[in-house]
Amino acid sequence: MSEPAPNLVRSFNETLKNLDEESILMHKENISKFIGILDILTDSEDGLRYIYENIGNIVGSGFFKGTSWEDASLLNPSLVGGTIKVGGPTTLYEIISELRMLAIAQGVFSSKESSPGKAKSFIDEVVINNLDLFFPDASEELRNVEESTKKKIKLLFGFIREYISLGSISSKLETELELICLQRPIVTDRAIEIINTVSNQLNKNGDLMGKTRLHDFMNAGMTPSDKARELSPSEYKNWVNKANDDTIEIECELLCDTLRDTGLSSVYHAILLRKVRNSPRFIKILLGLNNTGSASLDKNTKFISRLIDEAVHPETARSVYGLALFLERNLLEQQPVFNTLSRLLSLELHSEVAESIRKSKHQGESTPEQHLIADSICVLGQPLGVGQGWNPTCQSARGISLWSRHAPGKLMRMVITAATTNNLEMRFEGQLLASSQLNLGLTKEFDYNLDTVSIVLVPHLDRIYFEMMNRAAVRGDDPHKWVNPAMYGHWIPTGFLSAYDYLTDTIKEYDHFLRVFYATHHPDYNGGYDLAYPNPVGIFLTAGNGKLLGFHAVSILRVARNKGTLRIYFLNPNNEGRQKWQSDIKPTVAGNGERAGESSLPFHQFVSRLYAYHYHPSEADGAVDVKTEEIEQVIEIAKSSWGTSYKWWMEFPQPTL
Amino acid sequence: MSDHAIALLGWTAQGIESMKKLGQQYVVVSFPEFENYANENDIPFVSWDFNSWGDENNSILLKEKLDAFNVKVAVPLYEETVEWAGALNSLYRDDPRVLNRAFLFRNKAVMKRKAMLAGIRVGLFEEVHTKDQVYSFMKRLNEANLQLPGEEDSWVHLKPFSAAGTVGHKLLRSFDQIDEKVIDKDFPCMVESHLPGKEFSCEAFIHKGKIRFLNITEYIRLGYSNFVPAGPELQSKRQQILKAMQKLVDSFGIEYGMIHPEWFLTEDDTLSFGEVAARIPGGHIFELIEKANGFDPIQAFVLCSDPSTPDNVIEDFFPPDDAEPNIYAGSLMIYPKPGRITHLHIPDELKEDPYFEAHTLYEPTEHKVSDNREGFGNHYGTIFFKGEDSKRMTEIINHFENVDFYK
Repeated sequence: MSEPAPNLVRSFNETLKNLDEESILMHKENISKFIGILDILTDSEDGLRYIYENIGNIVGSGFFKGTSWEDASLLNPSLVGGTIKVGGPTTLYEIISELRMLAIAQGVFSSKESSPGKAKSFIDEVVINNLDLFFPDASEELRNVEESTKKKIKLLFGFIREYISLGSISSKLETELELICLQRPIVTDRAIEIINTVSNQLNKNGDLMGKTRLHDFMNAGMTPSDKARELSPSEYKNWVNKANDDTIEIECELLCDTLRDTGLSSVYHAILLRKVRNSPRFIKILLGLNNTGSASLDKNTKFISRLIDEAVHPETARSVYGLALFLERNLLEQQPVFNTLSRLLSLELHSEVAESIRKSKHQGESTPEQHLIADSICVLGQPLGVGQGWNPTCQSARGISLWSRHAPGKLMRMVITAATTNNLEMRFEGQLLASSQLNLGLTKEFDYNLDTVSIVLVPHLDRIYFEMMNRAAVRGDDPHKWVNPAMYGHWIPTGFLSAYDYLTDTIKEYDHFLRVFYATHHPDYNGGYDLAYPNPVGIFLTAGNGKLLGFHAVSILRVARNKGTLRIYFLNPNNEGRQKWQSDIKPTVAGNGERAGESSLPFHQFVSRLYAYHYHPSEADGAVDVKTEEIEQVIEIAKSSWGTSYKWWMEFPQPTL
Repeated sequence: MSDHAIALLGWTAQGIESMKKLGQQYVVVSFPEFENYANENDIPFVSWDFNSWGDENNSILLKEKLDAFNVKVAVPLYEETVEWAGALNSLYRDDPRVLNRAFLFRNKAVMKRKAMLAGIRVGLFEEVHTKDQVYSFMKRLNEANLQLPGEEDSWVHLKPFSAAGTVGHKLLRSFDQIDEKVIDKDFPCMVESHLPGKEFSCEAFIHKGKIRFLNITEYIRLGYSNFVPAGPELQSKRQQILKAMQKLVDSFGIEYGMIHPEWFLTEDDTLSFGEVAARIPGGHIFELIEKANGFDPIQAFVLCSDPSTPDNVIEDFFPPDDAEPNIYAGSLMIYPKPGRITHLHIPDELKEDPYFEAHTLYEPTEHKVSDNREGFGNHYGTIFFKGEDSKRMTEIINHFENVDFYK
């Protein structure tokens, strides 16, 4: 091991000394020089080690001061992967931040903001979230990342690898997979990616002993039966073609187990389903259909067979699970769904739409049309499995989910229009909006790691939503009041309340806002009724320390008691339902009565994040009867978290109700 | 240190830092937009608009404000504050000519005339008010240079009377270029003949009319790159340069402070005077002086500006004149080519060069956002070098000047 070049070491120490000694006035200039030095040091292993060994001095010099990395306790390991690829100083800060965490974890450096245990956990999470970087030989190429940044990232993870082994993070990987799969997302790429990477590493190193839950996931995603383990996909195809009915039946049962256990389908599932597509008996076993699903299949045997033939291929394997749930929703009973799906089977895509689908991660021999059919089945089967990817399009994802649940025919109709014309039209207050004639929406760079239905629809929905928001912008109230009903449809109740006052930029009449929500949504006050349709609400999204990050759109799905606590169950179209909104406000995705794809929080905790909701005015009468303690409890949480970012108008007299 | 305060005219973080380190009482005089920041950081501050002058805004009123801080000396940090410092110091020293001298520094034609009167060689120059006068000037130069038909026109430099460094400087190589480059807004201004030779600058720290320290800065390319101290070729003329400098100081009647003139040295060892400024030079020259000589030039500027600084303090502050710095400090300013920048690329050959010291091409980042790449495009930064051989320094800087750091 050697030191970096002497001129670098000298510059490093000189600049660090200046940073340390000179006052805040010179900070920007000194930091700028220091970043230049770090840029060079992070290009070599020696340099990284040198930074690591001097991390205490770097942190002590105020290097992180005034940046997002300042307080180590507030960092979010799931953001590291995105930030580190940005390039320039952002990448450098991120790298130094990881070295700080590693040093804390190793006990080389101590900090008030984190403990060795917490830091270790943080680094583990970073590794789990970035397995492709951690195991470079297993990695797909870092797309869109500049060469010099790639080099730095690889060196950093190589450095981390000296301290972290696969064995030491295996139990966390299990939990990670478990929680991803419990949410039953449509896009399972992340789970599959973890499984692939871990499995490759195990084949090489074998440092994971015994049969673990990790093996279950690996089986589900890659090798769901003994035969699948033994045979390559093409050998397996030959084998099932020759196998007798008894063997097929057993194989269907085996593959059904992993499918239903994890929600993951493998290439083998797709091969087997194609083989048995004309045999309802085997389809039922393979998909593990319940009575409703079986009945739906029996009524539409020919159609389903054709659907499988068109849609289910090794590249679209996830549609095997989607089809199971689709059948169990008995959607083919609805004529609009049947008709639109039939039409989808012979659809000719607009060339640009086909190109977008090709651009998304899907590869293989399936055509864009086939991908669209496959994912349409998934979206209809798993309404809560729709996600927004890394796009700022929570509204669009929320809409697709809502339509899939309550207006599947309308959703498919929109898919057909957008897919064939690359355009979508909606009415807003009597005027027609055509997406093809509108400016860009919120998304500037589209993340294609989405289901195909979203790839087809979201660009249009995003533009239309953005245009509606613009048109409703200067009316002195939250534009969602007008936009939500126009965008989502007539399910949206006519009443609307927002805690945020657009005219004064303050939080106004919050007490009233809460009372009406309790009166209309809390079973103790509304007569014990649950929601009929999802309620698209706006929330203040907060970081782990409760500080305001921004606005976010979620849907309240239902309100129910679990283990004695009243909870709100909601759809978070964000990539991940598990987040930390404050030290003790952590939405869960399992363990508290959540159905697959739902997040939940205790009622009052969720309400403390709410800033806008719809309600039925005729049901708001009970607002005066809501217990003051309940309201005060929420106000206290709100004021101590996102509320610090706003002025409050609580001193106003209580409005008469 | 002195028991009175110094007024720093103009905002520079480095200047404030230097005063703190020196233990010198100070007050910063600058535009109102700095006031909040100054208050937040406990920096003594007087808000002042240097750009306007009148009954409500003059040196008497400014002095009254500064009296509250017990100010006895004003130090100009930027070109625009030079005459304000002159006005204040003429009040402090009760010498009206101090102000006149400051005006001298603010008009390039007047300062040349003054130098010429003292017998210092200057180029041919003229104050002009119209384009026609520029034509006539070039025409007369051509005549003087005995131009034959078909030969190139004589080069003419057009400069605003009072602007820092190369601001507004236009080089006119032909009559056609007068048409192309000169606009009505340029007038009135000064035109001068092109001075041949190697251009360099001096930074002389003067106390009681005597040069206490002279630095010579070697220019590699005007406005882009330079290094300190100058290489052996220029340093071998040090005595000649020192003599010319003292002559300039004497003829201008400069008693206290620092001047930063530019000179041209021809192969036959003739020195021509270009222009002179009395504020902190550009091109990171102060930073380079500090690196090469080990003293803080802003502190030096302040100490020399104060008539009450004792001689021994001044003598102890500077290295002896025969001290030979063994290190060269250079800087190269990088201007991205406009309109085609997506990201910054620092080549390995720079990072691996032993003369490479630091760069400021990266702006410190404050936000964790993924789409801030365009941000790099607007700014330029500087690359700093340090090494023992001035020839190698020149080669390296010349080389990297042609490297495209922004792609």
